[in-house]
Amino acid sequence: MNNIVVKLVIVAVLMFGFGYALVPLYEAFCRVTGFGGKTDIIEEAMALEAPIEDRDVAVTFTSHSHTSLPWEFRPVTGALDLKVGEVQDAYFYVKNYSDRPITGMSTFNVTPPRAGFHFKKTECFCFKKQVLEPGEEREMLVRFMLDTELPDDVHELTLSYTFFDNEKFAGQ
Amino acid sequence: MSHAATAHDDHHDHDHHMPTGFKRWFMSTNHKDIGTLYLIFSLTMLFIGGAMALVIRAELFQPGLQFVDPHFFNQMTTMHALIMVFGAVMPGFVGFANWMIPLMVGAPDMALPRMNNWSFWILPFAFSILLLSFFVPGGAPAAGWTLYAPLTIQGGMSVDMGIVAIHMMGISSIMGAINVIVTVLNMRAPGMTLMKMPMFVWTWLITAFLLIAVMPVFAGAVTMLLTDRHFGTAFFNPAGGGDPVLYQHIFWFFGHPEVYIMILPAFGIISHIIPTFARKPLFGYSSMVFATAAIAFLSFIVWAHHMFTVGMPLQGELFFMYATMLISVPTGVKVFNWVTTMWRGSMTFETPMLYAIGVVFLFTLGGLSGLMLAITPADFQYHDTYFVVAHFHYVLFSGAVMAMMGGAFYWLPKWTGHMYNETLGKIHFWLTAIFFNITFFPQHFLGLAGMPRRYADYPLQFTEFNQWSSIGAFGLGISQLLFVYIIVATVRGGKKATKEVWDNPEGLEWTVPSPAPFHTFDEPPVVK
Repeated sequence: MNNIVVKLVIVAVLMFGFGYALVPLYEAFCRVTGFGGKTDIIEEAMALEAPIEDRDVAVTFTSHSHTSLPWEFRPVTGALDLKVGEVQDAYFYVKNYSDRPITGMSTFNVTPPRAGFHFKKTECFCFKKQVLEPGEEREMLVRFMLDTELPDDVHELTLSYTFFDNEKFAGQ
Repeated sequence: MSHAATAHDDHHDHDHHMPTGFKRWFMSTNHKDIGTLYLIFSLTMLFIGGAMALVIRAELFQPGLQFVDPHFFNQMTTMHALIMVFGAVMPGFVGFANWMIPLMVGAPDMALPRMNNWSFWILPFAFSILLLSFFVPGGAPAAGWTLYAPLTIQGGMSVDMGIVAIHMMGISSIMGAINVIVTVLNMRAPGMTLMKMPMFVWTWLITAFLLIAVMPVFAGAVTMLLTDRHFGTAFFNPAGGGDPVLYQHIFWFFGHPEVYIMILPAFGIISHIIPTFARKPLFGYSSMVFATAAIAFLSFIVWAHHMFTVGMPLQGELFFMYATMLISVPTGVKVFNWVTTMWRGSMTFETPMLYAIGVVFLFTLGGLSGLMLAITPADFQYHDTYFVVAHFHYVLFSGAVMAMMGGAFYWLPKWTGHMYNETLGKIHFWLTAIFFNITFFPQHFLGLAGMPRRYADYPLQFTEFNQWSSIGAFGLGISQLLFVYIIVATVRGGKKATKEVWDNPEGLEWTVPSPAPFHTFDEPPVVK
């Protein structure tokens, strides 16, 4: 009888752990499948070697700064037309209007979500935290390409960034 | 063990040794007393949660803001749901399990009586904490019972109190579930094989496994909320790289099995009442068992139908749509079996039977609106409207709660030793059934017309249906006072109930005297 009790308690504890295991599982699921508009990362050398197709895609850039952050954040490159496989640069402008240094971290998202997986970055300001001194302004780079697996019916896509105050967070 | 059991029996054979007062109720290890405590607790919570529902319906009687401000309205919707789900329905079924499972399997008590005491006495403390959150700055949790991040990451101190309360009630449920499983697996009377167990025991056994599987996941989700709020983690906060949609996935991984936790024991109760009053054995017993197991299994793979609109890929939506629709197959088997049990039976319509038939009919309506919601493209219109509110009240009120009321009337003579007043019982059924439909049927139309849930106000064109709904709600609430009156009157006195109470009912619980003595089945019965 005690045996069953112990087993059931173990199951309960494992299921508590399973709740936590869902976090990396979900992350991995999104990364592997590109669900939820997650984008992919690629080595620059590989990106430059990729074959270029004669397919035009219009990419629009949008950006927001979260209300917790007294920053101006806008795309310098509003939109781009590029060919699939071609490596391109886009720039974003950011300025800290407060009188204190602030650490920000940007999240990103591609619409339509099914195109996200084929949006490959070689370099991005969103890869790491950005620390801006009081009044500091900066132009930031995203270097990216679209891989040839991009679904044929995707002719335009939007890359969106949101800057958040990252002060409180230890990770990332 | 056998020696200890003998000593125990000797000690308690004399009735005047029965503990009284504080010792009896607070330190109880007796399954019947603990069952009674659970049932009284559940009924109390039904009235507290019901009062909140009436605040909601009073505010929605007219467009515009009359009685409460929108923030308090949101607290009402959130707390109404938390209290009804975790305070009224779940403990109510645990009360039935405590009272009936040992009597049904021929066991002298639950397997772990001390733990049984703990799992009950955690609950009043958990709900005191939850209710006290009304008095902290910012008021009670107001983010909806699903406690979606990131809104709950921003909420005040009450969210933390809610999280603590959820942890406590989760521990209570898990302990209760362990107790049920151990009792059912170890303490059945000789000869009672698994496939001879009464349906209520089967449904509770499966429910208990569901509880152990998903309550810890919910505990994990709210723990993540707590650390996101106070300890710098970022599970759900995009600012730190988290994902709010992840919360919805984890929550509904718990949340969908949770809805079956709240309905499977109701199916069990119905499966006892119908054969008794149709005077025929339950049709398709083994298909009932397998249907219950199938529903439990499927409940784990349909969670995302609660979140069709979050922006899932098409393949995901299709999978969850088909998996959800699949559940209607085992559920249909059950409804078919109940109807077939009644078919050509010598039916009589005492109060429990009225409730059982009411549940079969109204729950099926709720199941049908569930099928409508399962259709992904249609769900984009129904999502977060009053159509959803109508749907889950049809399955939860006219499914779970009315099944418990039917069960209460069915076993009340066994519990108290007195027959309840049949006329009043029938009046209570008809008041409940009619007012329930006046309350919730118009909400289908409101939802289809586009009225969103969880708003304190609405445009003029929704007024008439809302007024129907509010009038029904007050009628429904007031009718429940009659329920309390009938129970109190039956406890106090009434016609003496016989051992069998009904006309030749099936089950070991009818072989012990009414009221069931403090200790039963000291000698295990033999089941052939």
